[in-house]
Amino acid sequence: MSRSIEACVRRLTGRRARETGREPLRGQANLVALGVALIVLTTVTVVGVVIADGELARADRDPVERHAAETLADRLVAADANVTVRQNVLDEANAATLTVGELESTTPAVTGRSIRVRLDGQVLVERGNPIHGQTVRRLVRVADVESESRRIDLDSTTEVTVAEPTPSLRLQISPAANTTVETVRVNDRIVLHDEDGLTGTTRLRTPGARNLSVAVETRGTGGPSGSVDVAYPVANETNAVLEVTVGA
Amino acid sequence: MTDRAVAPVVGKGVEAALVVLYVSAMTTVLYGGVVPEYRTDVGDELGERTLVTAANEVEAAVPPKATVPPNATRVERRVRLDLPRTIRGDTYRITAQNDSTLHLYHPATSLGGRVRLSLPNRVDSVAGTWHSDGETRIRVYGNETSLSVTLETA
Repeated sequence: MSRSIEACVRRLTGRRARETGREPLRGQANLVALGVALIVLTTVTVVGVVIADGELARADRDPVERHAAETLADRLVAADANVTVRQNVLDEANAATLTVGELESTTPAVTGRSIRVRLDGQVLVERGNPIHGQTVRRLVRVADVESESRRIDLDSTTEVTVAEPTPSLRLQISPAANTTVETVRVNDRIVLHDEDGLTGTTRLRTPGARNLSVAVETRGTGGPSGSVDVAYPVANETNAVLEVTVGA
Repeated sequence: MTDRAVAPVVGKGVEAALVVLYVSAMTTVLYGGVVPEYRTDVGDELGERTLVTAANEVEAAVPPKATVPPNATRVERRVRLDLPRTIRGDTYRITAQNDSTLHLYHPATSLGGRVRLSLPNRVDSVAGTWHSDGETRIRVYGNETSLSVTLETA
């Protein structure tokens, strides 16, 4: 009886007797589809894991090396560093003679690591080869400091004007035997005064002043004689990029 | 005839078993090998970054010379610090050694690290321990020429 039902179904659906041989395969077409689906799923999972791995490797920032590099860079441009004239201004002569020992004493974090410090591409100091290290850059000014001086010849004059702006003056007072230098004024303000006489070398700080006029008051028998040397630093400043690299 | 009726049942049964097998195999592979490795890598990175942040905070807590009045008899400063409570699921400790380094101690021995502090010469000693599950503070005390830094945990 079931066979007649089969025959009816076949006739209704228009299928021919030949196709019945394929029915067992149709039952397993699902398995093939499942197999393909699992393969696709595995591939997607593997690709996802590989991408995650790559991203994790890229996110590794070596924070300890970066900390060492940043601390070293901060110490090199600090106002109280040996190589700076003031904050963020490097002294060209001192920077050229920088040593690894100085770096280690100001920044213990770089002990035992490879270091390279470059100023505008020129290597200032190097130890080892920090190829894969962290680099920190700072924009600085480089000052080429020279010393200029003017002389007040007490025979002829008692004052001199310094036109360039300078942060400090160094006075060398050398009066002759019959002269006593009592007072030194800068821009009409008394900066040194001694009734018994001033001699020798004195340093004065003159922050932010231009056109300083240095005047000297003396007393003594005969005309005043002797000299006062006024020396001051003059700096030519240029911009530069300081690059600090610290490796393992 | 009964074979044909059973065929779909067996087919579906095989498919279901195959899927279950696949899922369990995948889970084993992932949780057995891949996931713990990633957790350790991330824990490593987090530990390093925590150490460096802590070092930066300690260095910033030391008042710069310019802000201390010249004849100050006492300097005392307390700064709160936020550390992540756990790394890779476990609480950890950060200890200061006398050679100005911070050490991270973690129960999983592969995690851990040290960082050197760069402190000015005025700082005489650095000591103390932080436990990551407490309230962590940095205490700086002394006078203008001699300072001590202590890591405190409430």
